[in-house]
Amino acid sequence: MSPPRPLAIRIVVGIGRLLGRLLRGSDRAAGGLARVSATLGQVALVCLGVHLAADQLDDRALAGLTALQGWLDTTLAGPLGGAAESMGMGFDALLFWDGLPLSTMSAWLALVVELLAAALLCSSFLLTGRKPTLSWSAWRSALSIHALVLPITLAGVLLAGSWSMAMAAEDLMPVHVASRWAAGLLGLAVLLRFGLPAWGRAVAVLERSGKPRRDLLVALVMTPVGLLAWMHGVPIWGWLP
Amino acid sequence: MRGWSELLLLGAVCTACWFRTPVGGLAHNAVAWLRDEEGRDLLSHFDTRLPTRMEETLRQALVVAEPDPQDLPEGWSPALHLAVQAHLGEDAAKAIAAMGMDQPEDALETWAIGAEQRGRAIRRAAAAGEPHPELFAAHRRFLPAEAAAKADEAVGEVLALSTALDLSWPVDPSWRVSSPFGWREHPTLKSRRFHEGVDLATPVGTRVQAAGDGSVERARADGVNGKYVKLAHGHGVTTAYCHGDAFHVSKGQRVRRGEVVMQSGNTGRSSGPHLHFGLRIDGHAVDPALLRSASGDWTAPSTPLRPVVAPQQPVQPEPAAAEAPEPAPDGAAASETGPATDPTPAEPIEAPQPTAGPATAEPIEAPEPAAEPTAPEFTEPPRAEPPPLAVPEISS
Repeated sequence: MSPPRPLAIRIVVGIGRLLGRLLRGSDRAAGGLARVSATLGQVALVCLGVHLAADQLDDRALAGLTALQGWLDTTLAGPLGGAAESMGMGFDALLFWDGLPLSTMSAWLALVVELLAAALLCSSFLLTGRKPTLSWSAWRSALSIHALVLPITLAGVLLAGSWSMAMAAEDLMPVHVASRWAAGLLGLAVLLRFGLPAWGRAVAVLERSGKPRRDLLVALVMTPVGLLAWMHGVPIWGWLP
Repeated sequence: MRGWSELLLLGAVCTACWFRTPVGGLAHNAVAWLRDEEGRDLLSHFDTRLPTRMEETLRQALVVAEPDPQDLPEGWSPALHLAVQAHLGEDAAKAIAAMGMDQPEDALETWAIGAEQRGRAIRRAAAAGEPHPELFAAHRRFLPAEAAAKADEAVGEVLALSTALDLSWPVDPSWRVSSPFGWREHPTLKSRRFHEGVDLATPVGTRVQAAGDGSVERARADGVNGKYVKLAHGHGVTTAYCHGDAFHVSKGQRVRRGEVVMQSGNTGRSSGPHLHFGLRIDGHAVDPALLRSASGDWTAPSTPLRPVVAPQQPVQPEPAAAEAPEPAPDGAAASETGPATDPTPAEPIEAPQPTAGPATAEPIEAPEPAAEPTAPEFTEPPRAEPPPLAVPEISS
């Protein structure tokens, strides 16, 4: 028969057990929210990835619009300005592109594409059953523009979202090599917990739509987003020779 | 612990999404709407919309103590030193000043990318036949992309900031701000618009001065901005003065700080006499009120009022513009001596034709023809009780 433990030790052990039970109970309660939290996390991850791509789209659109404006200046400004002057108006009366707020236009374009792409990508997995089964043969039988564009775009967006998440976390940490690793691990955890299931859910339910025009329109929105997400949101290019 | 770790991950992703994406901005705005608070500009998530970093740096620069000009290298203005300090940090400012290079561009570039890389680019530019390879603009394309980006940031942004810091307020600062920079209910359109400048409650005929040395990029009229003048001050910094009543400058003309460019009025899309004053850095609208606190050196314009004549009486642009002397060190000197580019201020200048061209300072609607220019009556601004400068009054 072991001697009785001192009162202080018994109190500490008791508090420890109580805390353990509380933690386990609350963990089970948190686990009960898994379905909601997974869906919310997937949506947030897609939004992060799409925004990273849209930010690049904004820059490219602005560059394109500026180039277009320059081209109009060199090719059309002379003849149109001359025509306006011959009609008694000011030289720049017909130069409709002069002074357009290009940066605002490009930002609006990027915003619209971003919201559309986020809605399309989220709907691709939100409207599915919880755990559909991935099957190669099912995907091959559904092969279409949409079945090709969606998995590639979504994969790029989810990777970009995880990368963006990691960068956001790193921004909040002190500058240290450990912060970089911690942020990278967080990004990886987010990708595994939210990204992979979302991709699986979206790809597993792909069907041949039979509406190639609609598929083309959807692909027109998704392709630039997917391309830019792969180009700028997947941090592998710097490692390549 | 799986449940907790999942919730933690969810919290991290949702927080990042909330603060960093327009979708999060939409959710934020919905909450703000329910709470009757001001929402977030969705376009601010795209860095081409609002230069938050530039504006923040400008704010920082304004609270930094001005250096003693004697401590600066030859050719360095206090504004440039402030810009370096605010944008690159105090250590960088000390390091750059210690280089002792007279040309700010050279010093900033050397600090950003190192003398070796700069020297290599200069050698390459010289080999490629550039006539002035030592100039940043000439050898920039011979820099590696990463170095070019670094140098752009150090040279371009600092010089833009210093140019902006050198600007002054275009009218007597005692005129109240009737509509500040930012989101507002548009007074005539009755919709929520982003106001990319400040409105100053100046009466018709108030003389509007150039905020800094520069050239007249535009002096014309449209249905939105009325008669407006846009000045380019260099390094991507521009200022705009809208709803004017009469022009005092013409396109292409060089102006000095403090020189009268127009008289304020009530033309274009305007609900009453006022001056819209806009500031842009690298194409991005920045709150000009930031300059107001720094414009303590404002002095009344000494330029005599010039009548604007009918368009039939053409006047040649001033040819002396190219040989304009070096800018005066401060606005007081510029005002006292009068505009060096305009030796005959009594000479009338041509009023530009009203056009239906697109506007830049404000959103565009169907343009209307601007009113015919009329001879304005000059009204001297009141000086008796200036309102506090730091907090502009808000009204539409």
